[in-house]
Amino acid sequence: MRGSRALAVTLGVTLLFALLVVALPSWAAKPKRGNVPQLLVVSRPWPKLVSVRLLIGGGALADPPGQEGLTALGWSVALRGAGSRDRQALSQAFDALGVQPGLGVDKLGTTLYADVASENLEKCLELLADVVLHPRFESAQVDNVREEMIADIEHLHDDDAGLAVDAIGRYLYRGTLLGRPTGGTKASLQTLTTASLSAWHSKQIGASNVHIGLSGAIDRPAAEALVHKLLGDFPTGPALKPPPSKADDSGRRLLLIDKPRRAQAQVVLALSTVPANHRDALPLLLVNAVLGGPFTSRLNREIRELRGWSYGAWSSLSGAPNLSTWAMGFAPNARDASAAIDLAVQILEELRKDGISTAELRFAKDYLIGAHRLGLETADRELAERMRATELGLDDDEVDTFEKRIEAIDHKTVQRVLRERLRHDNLVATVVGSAKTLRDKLTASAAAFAVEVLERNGLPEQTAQKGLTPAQRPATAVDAPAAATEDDDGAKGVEEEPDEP
Amino acid sequence: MTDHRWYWAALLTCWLQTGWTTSATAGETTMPTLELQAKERQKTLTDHGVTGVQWLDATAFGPAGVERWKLANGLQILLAPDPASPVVAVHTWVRVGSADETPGKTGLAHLLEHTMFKSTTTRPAGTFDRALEQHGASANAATWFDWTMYHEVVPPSQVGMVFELEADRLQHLDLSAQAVRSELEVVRNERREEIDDDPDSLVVETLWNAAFGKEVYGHPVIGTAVDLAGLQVGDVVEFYRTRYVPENTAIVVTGGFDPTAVLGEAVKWYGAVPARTGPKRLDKPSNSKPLATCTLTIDAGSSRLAVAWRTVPLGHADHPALALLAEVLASSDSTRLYRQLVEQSRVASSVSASQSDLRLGGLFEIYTTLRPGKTAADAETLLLTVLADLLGAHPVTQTELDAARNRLKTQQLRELASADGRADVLGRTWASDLDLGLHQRWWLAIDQATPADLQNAAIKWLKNEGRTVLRADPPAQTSLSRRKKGRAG
Repeated sequence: MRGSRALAVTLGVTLLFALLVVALPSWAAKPKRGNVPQLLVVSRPWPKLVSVRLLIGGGALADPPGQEGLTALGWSVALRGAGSRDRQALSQAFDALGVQPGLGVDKLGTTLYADVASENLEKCLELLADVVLHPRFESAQVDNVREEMIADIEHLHDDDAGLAVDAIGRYLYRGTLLGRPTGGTKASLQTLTTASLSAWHSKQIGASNVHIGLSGAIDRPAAEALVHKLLGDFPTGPALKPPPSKADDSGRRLLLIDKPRRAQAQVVLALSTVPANHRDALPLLLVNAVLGGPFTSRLNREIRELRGWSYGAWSSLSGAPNLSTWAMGFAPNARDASAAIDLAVQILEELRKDGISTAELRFAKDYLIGAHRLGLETADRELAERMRATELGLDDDEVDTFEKRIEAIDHKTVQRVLRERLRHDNLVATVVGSAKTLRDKLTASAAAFAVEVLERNGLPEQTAQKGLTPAQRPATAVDAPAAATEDDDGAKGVEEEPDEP
Repeated sequence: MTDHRWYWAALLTCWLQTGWTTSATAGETTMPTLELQAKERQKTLTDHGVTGVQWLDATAFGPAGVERWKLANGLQILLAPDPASPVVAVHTWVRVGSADETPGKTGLAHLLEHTMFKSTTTRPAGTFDRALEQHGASANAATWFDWTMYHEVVPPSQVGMVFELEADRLQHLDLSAQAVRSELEVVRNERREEIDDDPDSLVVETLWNAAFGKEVYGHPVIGTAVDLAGLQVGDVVEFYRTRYVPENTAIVVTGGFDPTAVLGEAVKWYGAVPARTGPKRLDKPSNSKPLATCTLTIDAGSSRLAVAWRTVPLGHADHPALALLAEVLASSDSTRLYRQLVEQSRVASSVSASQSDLRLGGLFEIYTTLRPGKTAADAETLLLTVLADLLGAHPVTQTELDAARNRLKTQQLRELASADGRADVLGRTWASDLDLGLHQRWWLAIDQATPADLQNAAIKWLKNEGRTVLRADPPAQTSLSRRKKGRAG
C-alpha cells in the first residue's frame, strides 16, 4: 500500500512539474547545465606543476559596436569576486595556493591561465570554476576595473613600441570590427554596466565556447575526473564565431604619432593577408622565415647587421580565422627612419619580384620544423600550441602534422604565394617618433606613403573616425563589412555570417 | 684533427653499461648516488684515455642532479641531465659584467657581448646564427652587473655543433674596427630605444645610480651615452683578451643528453683553449653613500615613484627573508602595497617590489606607476606609511608569509620546467661565485622562514637612513610635485 501511494504521489508531482514547464513563459527557460567543455591534456611527470588554461571564444571581436572593451572588462571583473568570495576573499584564496591567475584577451578569444603546484590543483580549479561560471560582477569592482583600464590606455602612450604595435592593428583595419581597441576607449568603457556584463557573460560560457587545457604533472584520467567534478556544470551554448572582417585597402598610408622628445622612431609596417586556415598560410610562414623571422633573415641582415640602424628588425605573421596580418618592424634613430622604411619596402618588393631561392626554401623548412620541435619542449608550451590551433579553427592534428605539411610545400607554390598574398600596394605603416624630425622625410619617402600625423597623446581611433567614407566607419551589426571573398578559395571552414556580437 | 670514432664507440658502450641511476619519474636523485655516478664517469673517461677533465663535485638539482667538472685550462662544465627532455640547453657563462668596467669605459662588457655574434677569424659573419637556425634554434645573450651569458637551446644531436661554435668565438673573435663600430652603432640605438626613450628604464637607471653612486652597480649595464661615444676598438680587444679566459668561464648543459658523451665533446672543443689568468674581480661592495632623494623629469603621461635600500648579496643569510618580504609587500593584488596604493587610495595603477640577486651587495627596490594626474609625492607618503606600519604596529603575518612562500615556489617550478630555465639558475649561481648547493639551501631557508625572520630583516635593512627615494614626474607635474613636497616638508 505504501508503495502504491508513493507511486501516485510521484506521478502527481511529475505531472505538476510537466505542466509547470509547459506553462512557463519562454524567457524563463534556461539552457541546460551539466555540460563539460572540451578538454586538452598534455602530460609531463616533472616538475610537479600543472598549468591550467581556459580558452573562451568570442574575444574582443565579439564586443558590440560602442561597447569596445566589454570582454576585457568582463573577465577582469570576474577575477575580482566570484561564487561566495568577494574581491579580497578570492584574491587571498588564490594567494594561499601560490597562484596568480592571468588573463589574456585578444581579438578571437580570452585565455584565463594559472600555474599551480600539483598538490593545489583541485582547489585552484574550484576557484577558476567560480570565476568562469559564477562571477559576482559587483558594481564597485566594475568601477574600479574600468578606472584601471582607462589608466592603462593612458600608460600605453609611455611605451612607444607597444603603441606602434597597437596602432598598426587599428590603422590597418580602421573602420572595421578588427580595428577597434581590445581594451576599449574611454568613451566605450563608460557605457558598460553590471547589467551589460551579466548579459555578455551568459553568451560567453556556452559549453561549446569553452576549451579547458591542463598540462604538466597530471595524466588524462585524473584530469578528466577533476574537470567533470569541478568544471562539469556549463550551460549548453554555441561557440562564438568571429565576425568577418577586412582591411582598409585604400593604398599605402602611414600614421605618424608625434612624440616630440623621442630620439628613436618605432616603426611597424603591415598588410592583411589570407587566414590561418588557408592553404597559402604555411607557404607564407616559409616566406616570413626568409624575410624577417630569424636573425639571418634578409631584413635583419640589411637593417641591423650591415647598417646598424636598429637594435632589431623583425617580421611576423599573426593568424586569424578570416584573415591574417603580416607585419615587420624596427626602431631606428629618427634621422635614419625614412631610409630604413624605404629599404624595408624595397626588400619586400624585391622578394615579391625575384622570389626566394631553393636554398632559402630548404633553410626556411629546416628552421620552421626545428623550431616547432624545440617549441614543444615543455608541457605548457605544447598545450599553448594546441590551444592556439583550436582558437584559430585549425584541424585537430595541426600540431602533429605540421612538419609533414611544411615539407610538402614546393618552390613553385611559395613563389606564387609571394606574389599573390603579400600585396604591398596596400602596405600600411605606423611610426612613433618626433614629427618635427620625421614628417618631411616620410612624406618625401620613396615608398610613397600618404602620411597622416597624430598630435601627441592622440589616439589612432580619432583618425579612424574623422572624415572617412561610410564604408570606413566603425561597423555596426547592420553594416559589418564582408569578408575578403576573392581570396577565400583555399580557406577551410570560414563562415561568412552576419555580425552578431 | 684527431679521429674520435674509437672514442665515441667506447663512451657509448660505457654509458649503456652504467646508465642513469635516476629517471624523470623517480624524482630527485640523492647525493651519494650523484657522487657515485660522477666518480664512475670519471673512471670511464680515464679508462678510455680521455684526460684533461676532472670531476669537482655533484649537487642535488632538478630531476637528476648537477655535476661540476673542470678542464685542464680552468674552464668549468656543469651538467644537469634530464633523460625525459627532448632538448638540450647550452649556456656559456662568463664571470665578467658591467661591475668589472672601469670609469669612462662603461658599456664595454655589453658591447663585447654584441660583438661575439659577428665573425671570427675562422668563420664569416652570419655563420654562427645560420648554423643554429638550420636546426630551428636561435642564440641570444645577456649582460648583467656580475656576468655575461650566451644561450642556445638545440636538439640533443647538436650539442657538439654548439660547442664547436662557442669554442671558436671564445678564441678567434674578429674584433676588426668595422665589426666593432657597426655593433657599437647598434648598441647606441639600443640605448636610445630602450633607456632614453623609455620612462620606466630611465627611472631604474637613475635609481641605481642614486643608490650606488658611480661604483660597481651604479653605472648602467648598457653604458652611459657619453662613454659609449668614446669607446675604442682597442678597449674591446683588451677586455676580450683579459676577461674571456677559461678560468672565468663555465659551460652549463641541461636537458636530454648523455653526460659522458658531452664531457667528451667538451674536451674535444674546449680543451684546446689556452689557459690564461684574468684580473682579480672586485670583492667589496661600493662604499659611496646613497642619495636620500632625487628627482627626474620624464617624458611620460604619468608619474613614477621608486624607493630603494642597499641590502645584501645573493648568498647572504638575510637574502631569502628579503625576497619573501618583497613578495609580502607587492607581488600580488592582495598584498599590502597593492591594496593601499592601487585599490584603496587609487593613487597608483601598479606597484612592484624585489630583492636583487647580486654578488657584492643587493638592492631592495619598490617601483610604482601612478595614475594620470597623481604625483610621485602623492604616493610617497602612502608608501612610507605602509612600510612604517609593517615595521611597527602590524608586522608580517603567518598568512602573508605562507602566501608569499607558495607564490615563490610556484615561480620556481615554472622556472625549472624548461632546460633553459634550469641552465639559467645554475649559471647565475656559478657566475656569482657561489657554490651550486646554494640553490637548495636558499629554498630550505624559504621553507623554514618565520614571520619574525622577515620582520627582523625589514628592521635591519629597510631603515630610513640609507633609503633612496626617486620622484619622477612628467614636465607638467614636476613643479606641482615639488610644491606639494615643499608644503609637506
